[in-house]
Amino acid sequence: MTPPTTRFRCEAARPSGATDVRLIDAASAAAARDRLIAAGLEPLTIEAVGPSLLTRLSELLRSRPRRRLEKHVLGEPTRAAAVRVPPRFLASVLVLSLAGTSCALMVGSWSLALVTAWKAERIMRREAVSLVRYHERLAKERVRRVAAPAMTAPAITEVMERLAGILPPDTGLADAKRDTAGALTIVLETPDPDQIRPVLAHDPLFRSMRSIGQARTEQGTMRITLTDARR
Amino acid sequence: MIMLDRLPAPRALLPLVVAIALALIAGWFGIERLNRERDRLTTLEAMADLGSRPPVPLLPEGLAHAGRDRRAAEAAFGRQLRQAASGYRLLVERIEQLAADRERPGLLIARIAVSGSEADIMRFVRRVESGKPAIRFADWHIGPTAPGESTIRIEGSALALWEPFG
Repeated sequence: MTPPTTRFRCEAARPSGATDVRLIDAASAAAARDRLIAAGLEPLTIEAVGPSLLTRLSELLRSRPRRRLEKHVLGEPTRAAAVRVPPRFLASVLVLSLAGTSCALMVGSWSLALVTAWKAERIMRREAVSLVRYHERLAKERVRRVAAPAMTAPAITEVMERLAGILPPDTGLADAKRDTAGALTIVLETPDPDQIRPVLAHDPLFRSMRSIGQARTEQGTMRITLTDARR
Repeated sequence: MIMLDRLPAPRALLPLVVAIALALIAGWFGIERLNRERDRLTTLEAMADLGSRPPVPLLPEGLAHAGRDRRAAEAAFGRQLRQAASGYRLLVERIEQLAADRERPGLLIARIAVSGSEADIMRFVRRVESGKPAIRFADWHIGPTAPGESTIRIEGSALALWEPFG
């Protein structure tokens, strides 16, 4: 425990001859003198001006819990009792904190929500034309998504011309179709099915076609069905 | 234990507790509302930003039906198909335009079935596919009208685009 100290008003002379006034907290006047000498000063006067602030504060802290405990507790005061906070104070702090937090939450959230709603309304007013264009653009993109496969797939004319260009003269196209998924299916009549596959393999448009059916016609030719549909 | 007798009675605290509970509930609803409003604001900002950008045309200029009136575009589309078929003396079995899709108003679709000689059918197809505005077949089937017949039929879905917004 810190020993009680006294505050001394000291006048001292510096080596240069100038006078200095200092307040020193020390246990006694002799101790204050020693500290001045240690600081390189020559003590002139040392006058006690009362207990130091530290001493007064520590005495105050020690005395208050004791006074309160003396009112309510019989017997020797304990360390736990000395730092006990009143339950009423705790309850008040808790209730007030909860009330403050809930009010702040309510006011803050609704204020921000209203400000945000106002901002949204302002955008709807100021950017009305852009918003209408956005919806038009959205509809256009939906159209693009549906139309793109048909618009980018090889046209019927191209399919027919390329088939006519690569098929042997004795082979004829009996039937052709393309479904909505883009899968092409053709039916060929040929005297020799084995000559068809290498011919088709040379054209990127028909390279992935595979035979899914084969039958002999009344004329003695073979009728083969090919498709590039995924299995 | 010593100080409890100084606390207010539970009944006296009830209004305060109810007020706190109500404030918490209102705050929770406020946060919910705030989240919704923020989502709406973010969406509107993104929509306005996208809407302010220059549009990307569906097709190069002249290949889509223009004009503000969709019915005029439908009529022009049907006329284009019929004129191509009649130009080669084909039998028009069906040219039937589908009703407008509200989600995709720019899509013009006609179910067609046209028959004739093989050469005329191919000329018809070439004329339709090379004309302006552009027409493509989303699905199609070309084959003889009946087994052993020399006349052939094309049937399928002809597709054109109406692009009124530029």
